[in-house]
Amino acid sequence: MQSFTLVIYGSPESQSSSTALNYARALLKSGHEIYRLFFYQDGVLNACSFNTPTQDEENLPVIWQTLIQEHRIDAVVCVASALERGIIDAAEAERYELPASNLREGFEISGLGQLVDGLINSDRLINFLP
Amino acid sequence: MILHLINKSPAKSSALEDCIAVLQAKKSTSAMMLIEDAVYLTVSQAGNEALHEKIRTLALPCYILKEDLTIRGLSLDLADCFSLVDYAGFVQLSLDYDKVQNWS
Repeated sequence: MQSFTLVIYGSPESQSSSTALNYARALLKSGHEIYRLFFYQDGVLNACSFNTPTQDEENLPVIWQTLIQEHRIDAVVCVASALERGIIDAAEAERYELPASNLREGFEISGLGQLVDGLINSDRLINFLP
Repeated sequence: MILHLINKSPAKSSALEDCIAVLQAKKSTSAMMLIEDAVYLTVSQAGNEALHEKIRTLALPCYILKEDLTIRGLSLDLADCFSLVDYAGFVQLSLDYDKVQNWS
C-alpha cells in the first residue's frame, strides 16, 4: 500500500477537479491510501458549502465531501487562496467580522506547510492543474 | 524515471511539444501520460501526425487515459505510438515512475 497527496488546483467547474476525484477513487479502490487532499488556488472552491448547481449538473463539492467523510481523508484548504475567494470557516468569519461562514464540513483551512508535509510524508504527490 | 503528465490540447498549448523537446534533448526512461484535452493528440490529422512521428522516434511510452477519450467521443483505436490506460492504470503508472511532472 502506498500513500498519496493530491493537490487540486481547479474549481468544481474545471475538468481537473473531476480528474482528481476519479483518480482518488481509483487509488482507494486499488488498496492505496490518501495521506492528504490539498485544495489550492481555485481548487478551494470545491470546499464551498453554498454551491447550488442546477439539478442536471453534478455538485462536485458534495461528491468530494462524501468521499472525504466516507474514507476519513484529511482535506486541507489553503488559507490564503480561501480568504481571497471568500471561502470562510467560523473562526475566520469571526476574525474578519464577516456575516457568514461557508466552509463545507469535512474540509479544514490551513497553510502551505500542510502541502510541504504531504510532499515529505507521502509516497507520491500528484498535481491536478486546471 | 519521470511520468510526464500533460492535460492540454496540442492545438491550444505548447505543453506537449515542450515536453517532447526536453525528452529529445535528454535520453531517459521517462514516459508521457496524456489526460483531459491532451487526448485530442490521438486524432489523425496533419499537425498531430507530425507529433505522432516524434513520439515514435523517441521510442518512449505515451499513455492515453481511456475515460477522457470516451467522454469526448474519440476512437479507442489508437496509432501504434500510444497505449491505452484506465484510471487504475494511471494510478499504477504514478507508482511505477519515481515522480509525476506536470506540463501546462
